[in-house]
Amino acid sequence: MTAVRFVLREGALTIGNGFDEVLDAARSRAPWGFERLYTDLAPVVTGYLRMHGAAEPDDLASEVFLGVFAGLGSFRGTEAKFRSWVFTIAHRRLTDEWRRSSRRPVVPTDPLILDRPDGHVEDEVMEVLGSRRVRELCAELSSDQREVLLLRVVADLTVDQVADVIGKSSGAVRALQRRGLNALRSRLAREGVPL
Amino acid sequence: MTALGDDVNEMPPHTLDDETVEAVLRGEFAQPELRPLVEVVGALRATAALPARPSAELVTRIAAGDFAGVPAAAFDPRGGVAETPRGKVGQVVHAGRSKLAAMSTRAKVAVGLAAGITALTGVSAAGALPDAAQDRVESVIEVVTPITFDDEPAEFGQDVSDDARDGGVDGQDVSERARDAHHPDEPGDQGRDQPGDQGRRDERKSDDAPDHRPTDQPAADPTRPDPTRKPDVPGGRDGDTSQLTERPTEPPTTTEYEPPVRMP
Repeated sequence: MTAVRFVLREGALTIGNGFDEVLDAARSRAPWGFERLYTDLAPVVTGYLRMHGAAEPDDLASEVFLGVFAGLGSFRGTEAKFRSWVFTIAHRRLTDEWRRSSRRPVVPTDPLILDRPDGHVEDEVMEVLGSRRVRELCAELSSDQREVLLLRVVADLTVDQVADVIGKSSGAVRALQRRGLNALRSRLAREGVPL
Repeated sequence: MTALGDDVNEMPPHTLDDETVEAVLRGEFAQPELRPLVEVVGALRATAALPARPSAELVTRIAAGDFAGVPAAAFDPRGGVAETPRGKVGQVVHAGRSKLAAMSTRAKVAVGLAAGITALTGVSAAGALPDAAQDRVESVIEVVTPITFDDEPAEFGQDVSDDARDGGVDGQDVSERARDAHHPDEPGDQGRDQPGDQGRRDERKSDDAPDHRPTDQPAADPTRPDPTRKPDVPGGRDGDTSQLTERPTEPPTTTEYEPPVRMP
């Protein structure tokens, strides 16, 4: 049977060959360097936090980037390494947040509809509903399964990068992503699907 | 409530192998029954396309390039993060967020609009910041959010009028030069005013004479590069070379050119 492929990614999420230049600019405190790093990674970091059920994903993502930019002088490595580092920080901030609030991730009512700057309300409603449905599905996974799937799918990290972020072996990561997808598949089969 | 996959009474479906898992994560599937799962993965990935909204503090610090006093996340080459203890800044921020989490949704939105990026945008839009800070903050906001600031003057017509008064056009001078050029020998024109001309000329001078007002800010030195500006890529970002000046490859063909003299 012919494999079918969805085009799931719109545009590149990576800076590419210009990463060193961007990093040097940010280290030199040039605003454009910080802007570039933020615009490249902030949407995925915020999406990761949102799917984890963070109460204020935008604020938490801003805290992540404050810490990243304040600690840029200590970073050494490639763009892939930088990406891993950012998500390691995001993972730890999220863990701290859960410990402080002492609650499991929930599906908050989405304020996204209320303060969108443009007027495409219908499209935004459908987008938010789809996003909410996905969050509901993710909330029913175990925390480790959800963590691995979000880092693989939303953060676009490799198995080895995910292993570094969460402090587990690559084999454990593979097992968790397999179980997580199987669990989602079972849930979808029981419900007769859709988003 | 148990997590998915934990129900021992549930009939397990065909378990995905690692190869199929990787294909699904890439958005590919060979079996039609995997399509819903791939769609969920796609929807999950789409959440990363939603715009992020930076906090006011982050925008301000990016504009200033200053992160002094912020608890830094130190990089550990062995993997992970060697974080420094959270300072007072972080503690205050987290206390505020805990209070926010207890509010109703509408209250959260109202507080967010009042105290977050929108408020900063409002302050910036009201021109309440110093000029240099205003420009920097507006620039950062426009880059990292969908918000744009309208730089057009509120009263275009007034500005056109002001430009004319500032010496953009001197109607009197243009008129006199035109008269001299087309009728240089016509008697009585050069330097001789007709009755009433002086009065009219004085009126026009009072309206159209260049008014050399000093500028508010010294002109920027165009020869000094701005170290904080992103360097221009030769040929432009898209390789557009239309603005580049071509170097002449052949000597000019006018009569003014004299080739070098060859000595016998």
